[in-house]
Amino acid sequence: MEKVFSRPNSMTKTPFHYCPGCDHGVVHRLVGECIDELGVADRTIGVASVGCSVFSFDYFGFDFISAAHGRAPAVGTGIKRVRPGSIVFTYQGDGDLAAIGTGEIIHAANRGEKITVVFINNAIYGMTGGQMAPTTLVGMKTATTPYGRDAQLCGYPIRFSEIIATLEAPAYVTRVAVNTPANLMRAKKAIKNAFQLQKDGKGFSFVEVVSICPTNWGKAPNEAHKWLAENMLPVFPLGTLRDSAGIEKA
Amino acid sequence: MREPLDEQDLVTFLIGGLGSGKTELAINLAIRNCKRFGPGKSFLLDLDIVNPFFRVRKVREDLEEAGVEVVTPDERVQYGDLPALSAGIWSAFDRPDVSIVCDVGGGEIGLRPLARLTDLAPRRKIVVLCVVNPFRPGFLSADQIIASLKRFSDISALKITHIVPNPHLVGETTLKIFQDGYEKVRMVAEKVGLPIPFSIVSSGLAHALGEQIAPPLKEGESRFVTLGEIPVFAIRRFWEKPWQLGFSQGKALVLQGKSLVSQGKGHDSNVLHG
Amino acid sequence: MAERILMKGNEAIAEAAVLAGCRYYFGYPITPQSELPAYLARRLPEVEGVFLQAESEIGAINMVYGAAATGARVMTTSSSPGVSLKQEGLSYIAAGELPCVLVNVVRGGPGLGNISPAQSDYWQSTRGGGHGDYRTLVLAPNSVQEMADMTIRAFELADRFRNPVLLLLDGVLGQMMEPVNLPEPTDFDPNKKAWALGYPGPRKGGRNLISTIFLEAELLEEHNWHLYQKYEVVSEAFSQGDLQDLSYEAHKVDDAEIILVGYGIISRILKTVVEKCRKRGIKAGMLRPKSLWPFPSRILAELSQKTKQFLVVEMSCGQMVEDVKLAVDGKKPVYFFGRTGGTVPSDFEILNEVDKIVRPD
Repeated sequence: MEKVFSRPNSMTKTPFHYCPGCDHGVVHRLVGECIDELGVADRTIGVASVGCSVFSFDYFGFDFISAAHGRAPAVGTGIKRVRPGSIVFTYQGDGDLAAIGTGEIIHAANRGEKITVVFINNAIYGMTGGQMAPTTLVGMKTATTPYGRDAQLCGYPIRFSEIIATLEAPAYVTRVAVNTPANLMRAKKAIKNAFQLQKDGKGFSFVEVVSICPTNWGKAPNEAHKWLAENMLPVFPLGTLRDSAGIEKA
Repeated sequence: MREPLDEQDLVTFLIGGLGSGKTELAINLAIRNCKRFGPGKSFLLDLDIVNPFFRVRKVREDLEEAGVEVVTPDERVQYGDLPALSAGIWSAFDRPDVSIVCDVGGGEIGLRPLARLTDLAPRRKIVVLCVVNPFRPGFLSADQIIASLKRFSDISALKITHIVPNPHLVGETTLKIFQDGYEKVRMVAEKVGLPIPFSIVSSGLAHALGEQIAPPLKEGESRFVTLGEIPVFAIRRFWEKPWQLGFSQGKALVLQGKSLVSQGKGHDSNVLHG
Repeated sequence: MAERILMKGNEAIAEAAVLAGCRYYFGYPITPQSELPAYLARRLPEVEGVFLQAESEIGAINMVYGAAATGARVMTTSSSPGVSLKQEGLSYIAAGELPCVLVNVVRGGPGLGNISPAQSDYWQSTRGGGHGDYRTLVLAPNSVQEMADMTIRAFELADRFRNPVLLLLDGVLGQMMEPVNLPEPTDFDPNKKAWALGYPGPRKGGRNLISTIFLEAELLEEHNWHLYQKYEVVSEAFSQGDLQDLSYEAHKVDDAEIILVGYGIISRILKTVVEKCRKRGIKAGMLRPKSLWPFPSRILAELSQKTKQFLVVEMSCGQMVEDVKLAVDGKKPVYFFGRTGGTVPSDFEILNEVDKIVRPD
């Protein structure tokens, strides 16, 4: 019988530690598929961050390094500058990238480091127990905003793709989601575009994936995806903000 | 003998690579000018925005004692590294009766403030001396020296008028080291068509050379003399043992803007101070 | 051997790093070490290296972490407040067992302090500085020649022990000019480290992973004891093995009734003090730690059997004195004299201290 669906070759057999229904597993798989399809697994180096994806290195079979909280883009910079022929990506959450790692991501993007950043935005800290993230929506209840995020106290959700897209150097900045099959297909294409650009030596690529956290949101996965479409996407609209190399048209 | 740069209305800019000896020459030249033209008639302007440690500021009191007018950045920033030029620079240029020595910071970065001062240059008669130590990185070969001079010329708002060889290896300098280095710089000067008004030796070495120096030099004396055919400025080197800069034979020098009364803690009592 | 040239300490370190095969530098501007990055910004592109000014010291040390993970020889330099920021990354580098060289041109602290020379980062340097059970090798040169030579050694040690190595200086050493003979270039091949990310040779165990997370307490304990055993090997090499020459310099200690202990620029002053003491009939000697970790405890313990007392001199309120006391273990009195805040003691002041100890009346 013909095998029509299997684990990407660049991924390991280790079962995910993520909660059932979490988007991390889906996005991991998309990354693995893209690496396979581009045939670059033997020269890919991943940079894990701190957050729920802290063990992302367990699920990929290529070289990996774990970075301190927020520092993955700087670590990726060091790797890529020594090994320009490798494919370097960071995999970061919203606390890691948009709070503690603000300086590192902005400046890696601004230097146009030829790396790829996969940014999971689920509007909450998962690993530390559901605290407010910089991307938490106004009114959203978290462990540290028990009365809902008050914009007067904590400001508004930060739109990182838009910030990155104000810079001159980045080659590709796009925001996707994996909440529907159609969006998932677009997300896959975006991730592949991002890696393709890096393979072509064309500069910094940034893919934000608007995601769910069923456990800390207190919602079943389906319900959470529905909530994402109704509440997250108006604040974090999907679409490509920068495509200076025209990869989407190619 | 007519001494080099012996004109009261002259403005001497000293430029050169990092650690070429500009500041030491500036201090010695300003003190010489003071002896020559009288107290209050010799100005030393600190234009060094590069190097926070080896500026003339730390020997300011010595200079003022000798009667040199020292213009440095504001007291509040002078032990920091804030690149602030003093307004006193402009007023000094307005006095035609004083000689001025300008200590410009090292390398290309140090040359930047010169552009800020170009409006002053036409008011006065100026010379721009480039100090070259051929034992410093970037100045080791004739080609390197020429390339460095070219870089300075490209950036500097003022044209280099003279080259001053300062060939030394601090305490290891011998007559042969001086002569080898001098010859290297002399050949470069000839090639680029710039005159050498004098060369620099430490007064210690000059004294040790005895009768080869004319007129002979007393120990510790700083003066223009000749070594054979070569006019040389025997200078006091301030930075040979930089860790001693805070003190000199038990006499308190100015450090950190106030007299150095020892605040060190002994094991059981305060330290005596001589 | 190359000709003798006149270099600043900061320049000597920079050029020696290039000669050691270091092709990657990541840093952030801070006084008083600016000649060092300025030198490398011009020099590294000449040898097809990378000089990168990071967005912060935190960014810089994490770039070092990434570059070191590929097996390259990499360096960063800074001064006290900047080195504080680098402690986070240093902990990860030590935990991940990656080789790199770090330079701290110490300035007066705490806080913003000033830019004058100081030795007040001894504790930070020798006690880890960052979080967790780890050690940093710390070398303390006292001349421009030694700065060049120790830079080469630092890269060798970093690779040999897969550990960060720190060169601890102060503003005087960084700025002072002395004649040097530059060392010969090292024949370094960055592609021989089989553990490195992107290692091009055949892989034995599949992929290479640099990770510092051990959630199970027993696994982290095992990792920490593994690191500890490595540090034991390092200590042994410095105290009795092939690195003894890097451990200390003893000067006229054999007949000394008082031994002055100081590192870095202080040791230059102490040598003068020893000569002046001896002229005055006081049998003084000097012990200079060249390596601050591992600390030369063994020789100090031996000397405590021979001499009558020790005087520790530092440009701090007294930090290394604790290590001397630990080494001497109460066998002889250990006195302390310090200047702090960016001041440098004179030979005269120290001589006074010796007088008070040796001739109390």
